[in-house]
Amino acid sequence: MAAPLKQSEHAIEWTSLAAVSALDDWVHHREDIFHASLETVEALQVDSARAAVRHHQSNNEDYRIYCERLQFDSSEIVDVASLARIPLITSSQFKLRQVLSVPERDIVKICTSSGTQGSISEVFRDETTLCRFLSSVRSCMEQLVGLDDAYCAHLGPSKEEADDLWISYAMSVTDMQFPTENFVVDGEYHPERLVKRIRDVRDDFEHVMLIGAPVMYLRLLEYLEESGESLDECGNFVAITAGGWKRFSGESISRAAMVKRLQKAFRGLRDDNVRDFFNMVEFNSVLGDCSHGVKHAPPWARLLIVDPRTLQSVPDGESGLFAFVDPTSTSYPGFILTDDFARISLNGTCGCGRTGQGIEFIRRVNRGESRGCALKIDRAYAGRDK
Amino acid sequence: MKPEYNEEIFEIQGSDGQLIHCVYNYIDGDDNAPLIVAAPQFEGTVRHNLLPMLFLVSNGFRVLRFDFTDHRGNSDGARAEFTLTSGLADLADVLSGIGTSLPDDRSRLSLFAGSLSSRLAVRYLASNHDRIDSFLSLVGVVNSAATTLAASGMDYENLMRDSSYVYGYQKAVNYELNFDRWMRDFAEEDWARPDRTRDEITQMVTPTYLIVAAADDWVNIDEYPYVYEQNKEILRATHQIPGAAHELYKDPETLKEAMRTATRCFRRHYSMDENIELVEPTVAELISLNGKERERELVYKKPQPQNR
Repeated sequence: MAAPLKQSEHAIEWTSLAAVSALDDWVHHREDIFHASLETVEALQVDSARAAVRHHQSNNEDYRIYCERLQFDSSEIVDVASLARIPLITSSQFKLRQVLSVPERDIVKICTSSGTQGSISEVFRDETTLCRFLSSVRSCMEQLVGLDDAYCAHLGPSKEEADDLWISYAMSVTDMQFPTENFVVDGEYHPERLVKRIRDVRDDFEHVMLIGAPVMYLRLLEYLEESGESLDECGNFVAITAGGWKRFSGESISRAAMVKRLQKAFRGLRDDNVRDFFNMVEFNSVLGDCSHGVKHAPPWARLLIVDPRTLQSVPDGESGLFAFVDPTSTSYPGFILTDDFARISLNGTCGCGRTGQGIEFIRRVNRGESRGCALKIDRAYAGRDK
Repeated sequence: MKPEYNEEIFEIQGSDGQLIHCVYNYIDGDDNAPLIVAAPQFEGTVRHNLLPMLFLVSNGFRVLRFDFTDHRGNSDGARAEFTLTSGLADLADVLSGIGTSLPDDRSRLSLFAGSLSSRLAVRYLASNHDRIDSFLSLVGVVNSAATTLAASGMDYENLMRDSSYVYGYQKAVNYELNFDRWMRDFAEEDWARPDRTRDEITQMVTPTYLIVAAADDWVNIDEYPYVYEQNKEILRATHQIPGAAHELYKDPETLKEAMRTATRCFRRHYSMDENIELVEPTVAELISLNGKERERELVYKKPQPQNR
């Protein structure tokens, strides 16, 4: 026990600076965001969503008109069920127009999707939005994966090289937290350098984290298997996949088979240390797997699944189009209907002890154009005979 | 948008012979601007003071950042062996060593220190009255034992009850530390008692600016009135950030709010126009420059001596 507090009768008069909002307290400051009670989470979601809707109605003419046409009033947001009535914009809107809820001068980063056939989404982030994204990445790493001292090997290009491909930009955000090196350089993937580097630095860190699109793991495994190399004592390794499990050719990558091969190459790598993260350029929060393989939503974001024909919410467990209400974006409405099929796999307490919603992604809607970062990476960097 | 800034890297030899890695930033034409020495935060490096540096350099100051010895970063020493006393020696060595490294160091020199570094600064300033023009403390620790307990779970009282108590190497925040060394340093150099903090503050003459986090779980800001009770005259401004927690670097917008205030405090101190519109770095710039800071960390990385 520390010594009892010594107090003075003579107070210091503090001048208050700008206060941290309730939402920012959750996003930036709390160290245990995944263990709040459902009542607390739902109150946070309702209050934050209502404030966010009001902000976007006041500052985004298109969104205000859209809400008026749908005769939606923000006062309708009274409980978690009512979040499903918030007018959603489609992710394709970001390809067609500037979706902006702040003056253009406030934009600090134009984030672009990985459009592979010419139509690229542009998502405008202001300071608040980008700061909150940064903290969502940090929360996922610290509070879901349990990393606070790690070397990060990115199986992809730097943001400069990838022309701000979203996954590469997100990795530069990760570099704020952990030293992160990119192993696609000048258009060439260098798995041999990656393996050497890991051997060099692994003793300096509590964990080694590999992160990249599944297709880049396949190339790494091909290199290791062909060269006969492997690494021992990889119990402190974490392999994070992100960007999707489909190849540019349309072929799906088997996660189970890949994990098996990874465990041969990285001896000691635990099943529950192979995690998948989900993010898309329009989503300002990151969804990450816990050790039970459940992709958890941060408490401020409400995940919705809607029937693709009626656009009405479907019960938990049923599949449909993935949508989300994310109040952390101030520069664009974060109430978005996506092209992904998914189902809510958790609404309560997970086997890992965390609370809230969990989601399982099933597939992407078949379209002529595809946006996945993994597909772009596959085409640009993973092909062996480019 | 930040203006372009220059960077010079040099080492200062500490009193124990170890080299202290220093990074000096300034803008062309600001050669005579006041110099702010930004002490590293515990478990942080030069890189963790990037945002404060950008704020200060963009608004009329030169900035010197450095890494502690026996600590994470590019200075000498085994990184788990850091103590408050070794940190204090580094701070004193840097402040006395810049005379040979930087132009016009003798005039207009101020100190910016956060968290535990603020505690070091208090001890330094208690006995150094002529060197530093002003001191800005950001989320400053005033009760080192309480902060250590809150941040790491390591209880100094265990050593008080049993002088042979073994703490071992344990993580503090995200940093593994030799807690036997850390706690014994508390005992031997009297770092643990808030009364010692109060005594040292009472000896200070340096104009002091405080910024605290109102929801700080690691620093009880109700202890501030006690430790400053005998010497409120040095306090020039006292600010709190409602709702903020201790680790401000995790919340760049709140850290920016703190740095806006810190920059204005320093500008006021040097009779510079404090009402100008400040040049502020954006988080996008911070993310971009962070990569360069990482590269520099790698270039100047030193091998770790075996310490166990």
